[in-house]
Amino acid sequence: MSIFADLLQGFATVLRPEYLLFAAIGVTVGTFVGVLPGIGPALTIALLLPLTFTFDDPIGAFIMFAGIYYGAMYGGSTTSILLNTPGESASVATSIEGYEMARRGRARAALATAAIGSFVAGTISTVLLTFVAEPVASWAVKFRAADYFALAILAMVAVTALVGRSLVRGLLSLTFGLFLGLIGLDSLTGQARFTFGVPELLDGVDIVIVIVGLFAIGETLYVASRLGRLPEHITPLEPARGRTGWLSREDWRRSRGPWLRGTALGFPFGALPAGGAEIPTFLSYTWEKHRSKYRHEFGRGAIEGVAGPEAANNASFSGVLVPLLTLGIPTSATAAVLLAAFQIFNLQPGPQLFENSPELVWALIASLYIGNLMLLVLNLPLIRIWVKVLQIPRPVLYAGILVFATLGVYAVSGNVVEVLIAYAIGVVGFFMRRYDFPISPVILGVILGPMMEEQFRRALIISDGDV
Amino acid sequence: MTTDQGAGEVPPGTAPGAVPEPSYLGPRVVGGVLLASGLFLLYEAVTAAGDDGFALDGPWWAPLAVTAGWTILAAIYLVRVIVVPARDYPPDLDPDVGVDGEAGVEGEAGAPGHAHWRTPGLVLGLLVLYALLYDPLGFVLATVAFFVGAARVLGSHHLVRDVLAGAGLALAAYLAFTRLLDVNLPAGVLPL
Repeated sequence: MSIFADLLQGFATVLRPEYLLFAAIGVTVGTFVGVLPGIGPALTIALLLPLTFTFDDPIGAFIMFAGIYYGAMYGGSTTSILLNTPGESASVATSIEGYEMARRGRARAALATAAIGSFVAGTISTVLLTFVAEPVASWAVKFRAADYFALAILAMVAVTALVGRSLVRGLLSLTFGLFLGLIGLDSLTGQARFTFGVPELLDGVDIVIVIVGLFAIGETLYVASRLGRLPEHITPLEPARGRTGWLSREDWRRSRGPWLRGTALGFPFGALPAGGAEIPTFLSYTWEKHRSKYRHEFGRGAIEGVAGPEAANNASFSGVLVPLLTLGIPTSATAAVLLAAFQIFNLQPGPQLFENSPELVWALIASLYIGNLMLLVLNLPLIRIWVKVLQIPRPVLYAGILVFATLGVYAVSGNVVEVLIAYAIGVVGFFMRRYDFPISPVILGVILGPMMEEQFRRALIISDGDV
Repeated sequence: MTTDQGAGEVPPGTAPGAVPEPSYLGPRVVGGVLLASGLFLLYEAVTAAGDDGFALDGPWWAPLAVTAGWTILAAIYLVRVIVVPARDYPPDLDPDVGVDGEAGVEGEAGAPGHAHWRTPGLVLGLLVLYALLYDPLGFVLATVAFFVGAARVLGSHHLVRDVLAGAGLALAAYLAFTRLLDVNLPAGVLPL
């Protein structure tokens, strides 16, 4: 089957010492940054994006990103379990049971089930991606501009409706994102929109700036406003118990099913234009709770409540890659940053990518397998070290986050005005958190809005104004 | 930004142990700001189009649609928050989200309402200062100064530790990004 041939070719491209080194670096750096509370995978990749400016070769950069992403996801689980501060909404479900397990001295088991579950889910879902990617791409080539437009609308409506408590606030977030996307020169006519005479706005507001502003700056400002209420201490790991390793036999038994079920939920939801990772993690939690013989343990540290959501979270990442690679549509904040990364290397994900640079796509998929494995191998033994990172006192930690956020924006844009714009967006992000406005629709609006508008107007021009 | 009067303060004459009415001033101000900015942007969108009109294949209908939508949604939000605020911000919500006026926190040291705004405000001020000093002072010096200041504002009491940590971080980051990654960072005053 030609799929295997392509995949083997991908492995051949990727299994070179320097690429393996990049993967290892990526996983390590990703975990380190992901462990920092409040910094989720999307922001991690955004902050580390400048690292790749010196890469000539996109393969190396993407391998590092894959490692960073897996590492950041795992780091996010670590803070959810140990500190009850999920780095992003997809880790919230993990923190419910994970933190309770940690409080009862079962932190090692929680961390281990998260790591192994992520590995299992990652492997299975990458296999699914391997088989699904090419057929979907060849189907997607037949898409016309009008179809892209409809798909993008579906994505925006679904995410906005399903995220957050209030439709009005979700729509307002989406509208804010659409507005940000409109700033700058119109791509079809070159007219300046909403630039208010500020020359730096002519290029529009870069997605990295939006992400850094909304997540790093916004989150830090929000934390600053709640300092009295946050836990200062980190739950200590219990001393190593005998030679049975991290999970007892019963833990394994209870985790196996949730790992598989979580994967089954995560992958399709990740692939859907509505999906992303939040919904499957919560669905997984609810499903495990309903079907578990140990239902009474939920809320007090049931291991299924960690195993399922973590698997779902990881599987949805591979799922998210399906629309990203085949259609060029990002369905999550992280996918949006990956899309930005592709564009920096002058690659446009979509059906053309499969036709023009198939070796790149297969190399990326192969590097996912490798990153996944590397994550397990590197991180289980290193849990103790990662936990030390959490012992950095909060004021120092958040000051450091702000330094890196500023550095990241400056590195991407080269000027201070953009940094100030990021801060302004951060202030908006602070108020959004304070008054319960969901954040994901903003990202969707910024990415999909301009794309939709362009497709719509193109379709009109092509059909000569016939709506 | 505005400070919320009445946040966390029990009005005189309330029976002890009674839960104070949450103040919905915050969301109302937010609604007002949203509506005002929506109207402003709508005006911008209309006047920017000028004589070109709003043809569907032209550049001006999208700004009009987005700003009109913004204004309408903001109006809906504002009306809801004035007339039926408890629907959008039910009392069982996390006290850090939504409204001020947490029930029964009289025992807490310091006025909880004000901590909401002072610290982030200070952090924001420091950030702006940091950005403005980036080019003239250079990355390293500006970062050390900001780091120490921000850590202090966020609650740190160990000045020496912060200065050392800040200097270490700034130098390491500067060298890593400029030498290893070829990113341009301002050297400013230091001979780097």
